[in-house]
Amino acid sequence: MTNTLAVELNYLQMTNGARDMALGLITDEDLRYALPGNPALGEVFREMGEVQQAYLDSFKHSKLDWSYKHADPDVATSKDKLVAWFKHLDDDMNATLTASSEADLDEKKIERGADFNPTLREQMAIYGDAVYIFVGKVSVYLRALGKATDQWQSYFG
Amino acid sequence: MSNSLAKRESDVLHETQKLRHQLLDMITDADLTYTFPNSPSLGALIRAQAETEHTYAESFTTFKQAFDYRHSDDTIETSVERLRTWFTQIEIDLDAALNTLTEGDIETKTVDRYGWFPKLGIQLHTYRESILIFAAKASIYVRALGKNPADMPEQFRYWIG
Repeated sequence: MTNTLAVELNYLQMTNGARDMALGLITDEDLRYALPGNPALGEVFREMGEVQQAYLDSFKHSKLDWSYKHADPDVATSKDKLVAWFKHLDDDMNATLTASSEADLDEKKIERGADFNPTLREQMAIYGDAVYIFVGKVSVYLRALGKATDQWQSYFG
Repeated sequence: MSNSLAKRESDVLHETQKLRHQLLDMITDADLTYTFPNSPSLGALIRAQAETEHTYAESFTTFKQAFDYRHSDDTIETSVERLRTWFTQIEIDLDAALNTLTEGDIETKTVDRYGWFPKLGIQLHTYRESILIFAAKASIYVRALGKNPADMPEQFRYWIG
């Protein structure tokens, strides 16, 4: 792994850390909490996992496909299952990206449809954006639940 | 655009800033009072974002960021049009600040964030992240207000969900 790739991967891992920080603040009961007009918190996490799987597959196969849905509906109601799922996704993503080359970062293109074909580096950045969007949504739930710690609020408001 | 940072980042930055205006297009002054338990009202949430953005715009001139700016008029958070005008002014100020940077500034200067000293490219990246996080928070309020997701502006719906 090259230095530039290591920097990009380190940033991505730090971004995923925000998701893990949120998971550390909640219980299984909290996952059932829903705000009016919105899905339960557990469904927000489940959707994030499905998004991460789609990005992971795009890093492997150079094509983004949003069709993946987790087969186990209980994953949205179990913190332990979510933790295990995200660890699996993170490990696979780290291994996949670590095996990439410096040239891949700026030469490998990802087909996203609508003639949008970002480079691997850009696709990694867009994945980071997706995690922060997820973090923003979760932050509203954490506040409503009274679970947004001072540290969380100092990072994400 | 007068430097490499502005040239490289302006398009995506301006696209991201549009999310705030699209949010404001979806809501009314009455919606700004909506709140969740333990949470700010939607108007206070938007005001806090504008205050944060004000400090980001200043940071590209002062090279410091303390996040302590507060708008002097609390009623700012009760008016969609005043919030829109404020965001527009921030965009003008930020563009002006970015365009005065030299290549030397971009290479060497950092922003003093009290323990963290990002270079200007990273600072601009974190500014953009703050907008995405904010838009995601606001989207939860918009849905709670009963706005139909299908009626959301396409970019807002596609980017934020």
